[in-house]
Amino acid sequence: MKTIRIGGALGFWGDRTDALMDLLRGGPLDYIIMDYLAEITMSILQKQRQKNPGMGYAHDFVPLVRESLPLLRKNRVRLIADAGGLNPLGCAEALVNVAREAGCPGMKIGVVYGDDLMPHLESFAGMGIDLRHFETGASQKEIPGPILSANAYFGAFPIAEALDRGADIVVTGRVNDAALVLGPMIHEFGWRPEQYDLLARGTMTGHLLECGGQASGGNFNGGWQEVPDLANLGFPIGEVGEDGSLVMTIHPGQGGVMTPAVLKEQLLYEIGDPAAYIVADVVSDITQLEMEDLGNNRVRVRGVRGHPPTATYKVSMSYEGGYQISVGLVYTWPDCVAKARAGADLVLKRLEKLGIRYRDHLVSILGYDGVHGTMSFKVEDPDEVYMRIAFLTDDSQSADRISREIVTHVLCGIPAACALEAGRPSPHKQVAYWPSLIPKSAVSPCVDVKGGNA
Amino acid sequence: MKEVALARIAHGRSGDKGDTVNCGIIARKPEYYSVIKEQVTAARVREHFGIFCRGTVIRYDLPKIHAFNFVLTHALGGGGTVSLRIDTQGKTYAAALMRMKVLVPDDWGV
Repeated sequence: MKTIRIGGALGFWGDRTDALMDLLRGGPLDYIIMDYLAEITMSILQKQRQKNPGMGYAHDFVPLVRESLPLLRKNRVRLIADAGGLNPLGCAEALVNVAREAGCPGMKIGVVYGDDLMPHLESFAGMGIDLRHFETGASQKEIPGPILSANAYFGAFPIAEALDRGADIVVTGRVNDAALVLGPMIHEFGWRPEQYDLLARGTMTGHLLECGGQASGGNFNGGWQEVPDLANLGFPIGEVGEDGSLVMTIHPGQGGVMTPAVLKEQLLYEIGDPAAYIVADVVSDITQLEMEDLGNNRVRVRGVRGHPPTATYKVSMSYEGGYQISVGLVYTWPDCVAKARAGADLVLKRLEKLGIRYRDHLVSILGYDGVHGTMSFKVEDPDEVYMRIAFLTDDSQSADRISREIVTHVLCGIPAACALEAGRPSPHKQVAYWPSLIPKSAVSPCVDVKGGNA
Repeated sequence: MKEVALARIAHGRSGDKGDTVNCGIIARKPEYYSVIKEQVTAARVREHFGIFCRGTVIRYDLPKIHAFNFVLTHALGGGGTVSLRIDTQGKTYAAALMRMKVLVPDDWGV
């Protein structure tokens, strides 16, 4: 039976960038996937595109490709990444240039796009399509701020098509994360859209690989003390067969660990109903999934079943929110919790006196109950705490004035306080999310393959 | 019977989707599964999170891997990019759930 090996080298934009080279150096692979996009990432890319229309993709993916190109070619590994973000064509163009500069003009860059719904929003309205809020059911008309971006989550078949057409690297805009892995499986094994069990197995393989090191010992609550060498964490690898069979592993000689306990945490990460894990291509059922420890950092996964996909694509829209600023001070023993509370009250009183308006605020006392509030096991008289107040304001000026006010409390406020960091905190503009669904008939993925025409 | 923190018999991981948080909770040994199933109910988890969850809690069972998935709605103060909380993405919610007390047989070495 034909099997291929797929590595997951990145779990979000900002994750370890040396994992790609470690995966390439550590042993044989056929594909590497890199998942850049999260809800928060899309908002960062949106801000960057606003400043410069040529941006909007994960720009540091490009130098990473430049660095890894010789090894990718030598080991014949194909790379698939959703680094295109809000500008996949711009990202592909940059990669074509990188290949040319590196003396590899024959390299083909596949690009999947068409997920950007912004150009079509008006025509959707004309067709009677209302992008209702996925959870609340509220009409699109009730979105409380200007819409900044709107993207459909495409599936794996466009990625497979790019690979069929010879792409060495595929970059995409918004696709569901698991599609990055299912795409090469469809390409290699010739799976068809109605082979639901196979598509579901490929999708769950993708789900296990899409968060990188979190599937091989990173962020492992079940026994982090026993995970070897997190500094050299080996990122996860899926050995997949044409029947959808799966063994998860890591390269020998690298850090991390592959056990059922580690893998179960990733399996359950960010899922809803385990009987219906919905992506564009298939609805997966993992309620009968089983794991078998084969030893030597190898775990067999089986029992995934698939059902026909839904008639809709998931859509993620973003819109402008307010401005957020977090300020705070460290207070020390004695009575530091009381001091922190008094310090927070004083900040609020000062803002009232100065006429600085805000929409919302939240006081947290870190070191006491700042993260888990009512659930915390509170220490009676802690040695030190950090008092933090987060504010939501309508404009950046108000946020900036709040930032200026906090520093005055070192001399004019409650005693035994010091700043946590040098300098003043700076506000950031919020981008809020509006998840929705759109009929698949209303939007079509586009596939192009660039370069390779030296 | 003795009272212990859920952390003694289970581990887990949590994450977000919009304003929804899910906590995947896994029995450390197969024999712990039924204790969790009996005692860590959706209603009790809802009560445990208190004001941290302003919506509902649904529990899904995965007996073949001795695990549960708890889905908490309206649980992040509006969602990852707009929440004023410190843990805006629910990364520590599974850890928070580990504080819950469960009754286990005296002879369990946990």
